[in-house]
Amino acid sequence: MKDCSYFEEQVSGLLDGMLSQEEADMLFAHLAQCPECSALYEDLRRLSDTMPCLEVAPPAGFSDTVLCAVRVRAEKRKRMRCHMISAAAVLLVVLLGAGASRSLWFFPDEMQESAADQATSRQTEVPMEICTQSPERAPLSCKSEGGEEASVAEGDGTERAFGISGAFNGYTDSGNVASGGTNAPSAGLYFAVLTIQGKGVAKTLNQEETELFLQELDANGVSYTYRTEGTEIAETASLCLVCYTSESP
Amino acid sequence: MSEEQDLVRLAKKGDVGAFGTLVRANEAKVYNLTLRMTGNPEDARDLAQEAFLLAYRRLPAFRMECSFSTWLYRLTANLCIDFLRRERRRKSMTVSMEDQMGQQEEGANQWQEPQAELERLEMRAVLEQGISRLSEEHRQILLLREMSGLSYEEIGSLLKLEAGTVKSRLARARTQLREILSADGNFSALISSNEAGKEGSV
Repeated sequence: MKDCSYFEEQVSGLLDGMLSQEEADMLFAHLAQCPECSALYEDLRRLSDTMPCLEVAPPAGFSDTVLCAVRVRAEKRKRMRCHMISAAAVLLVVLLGAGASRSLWFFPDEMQESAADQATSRQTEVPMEICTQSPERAPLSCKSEGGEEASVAEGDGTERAFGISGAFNGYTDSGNVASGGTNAPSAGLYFAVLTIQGKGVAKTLNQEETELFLQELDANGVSYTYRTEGTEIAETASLCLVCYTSESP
Repeated sequence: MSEEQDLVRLAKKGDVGAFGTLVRANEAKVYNLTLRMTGNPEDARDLAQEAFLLAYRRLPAFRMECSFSTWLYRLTANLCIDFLRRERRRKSMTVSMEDQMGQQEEGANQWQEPQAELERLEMRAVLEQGISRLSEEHRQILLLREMSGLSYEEIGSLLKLEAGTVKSRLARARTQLREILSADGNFSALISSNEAGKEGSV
């Protein structure tokens, strides 16, 4: 004869649909004659019904952010493939050249170094660029040197950005000013994101968030609406993304 | 073939749009799991995001032996467990009502009946309080089952437990929650407001 502690466990198993028909029959036979276990079954069943009320909505824009990051990866993968193909092509040319004339071992050192440089420079070259856009306009991008004004006036001229290593300021022609800074001070990616709108909201994003922006712009050229503290920035908002790259010291 | 499987096949081939549909279909479940496991909206958001990114990265290796959502919840739960182990976080698992109210304000339009919504919030607060008082192992296993719908086998492999232990621990978690709520005098209130909510919604 099974005791109540056994059936307590079976009640939970029943709620999870884990009992065989035989076990379920045995449990129901017990419940019919045990008020305590029967009350337990009713309570646990109701408790289980109540659990869905715990669900809350994910933060606003959550899926957009995730997809942004996914596109980053997709783009990275694509780039990586391109770089690998380029590197492989260079290597192939070098090898073919070597094979056609003589063994690589007989190349002068400088020639070997030059071929290697060519291959590696393709792999490490990362464009320094500034991108700005607003939802209504096509994305723009242009090269910039750190510390100099990086104009993006090819658009309608309403946005400009100053890219300065360590900090930057941006403004719109309508006079809204905001500023930001970089937060990767030593090497690798230097970046900052500036949002400009009527209220002059500005925020510097962390590396991951910035990467999302950059890649989103890069990969799709579509507008990206940045949300801060649950407030969606108005349609008139512009994004200014500054991305510096440098080699590790 | 299910719609989910179709989307997974497309996503495996690199269709970001298809993956987007999968994200939107599962974001609430994933976020809620991370939220309940960590008790912190910020950690929850980061972990939920990490879970989707990891899913995207591992998608080529996903052999579709179970549904995508099960696979995703398992992966999410794994991340949460790792996170909790790493951080050894022992802070209160109750998400503050302020946070919840704030989130509700954003989506206020979805609740047409303020009274019903108020009851729902109260019910949730009571339930959250009860769950937060469970031991970590009981809370974890209950959430994996109730919020993510993972099978005993899946929970067992995540928590490194035998299926029999999963079953008994789950039963213990449930009866403990019942005891906690009953001791506080909240159990009957919780049940009656849930029943009233259901009747009201008919």
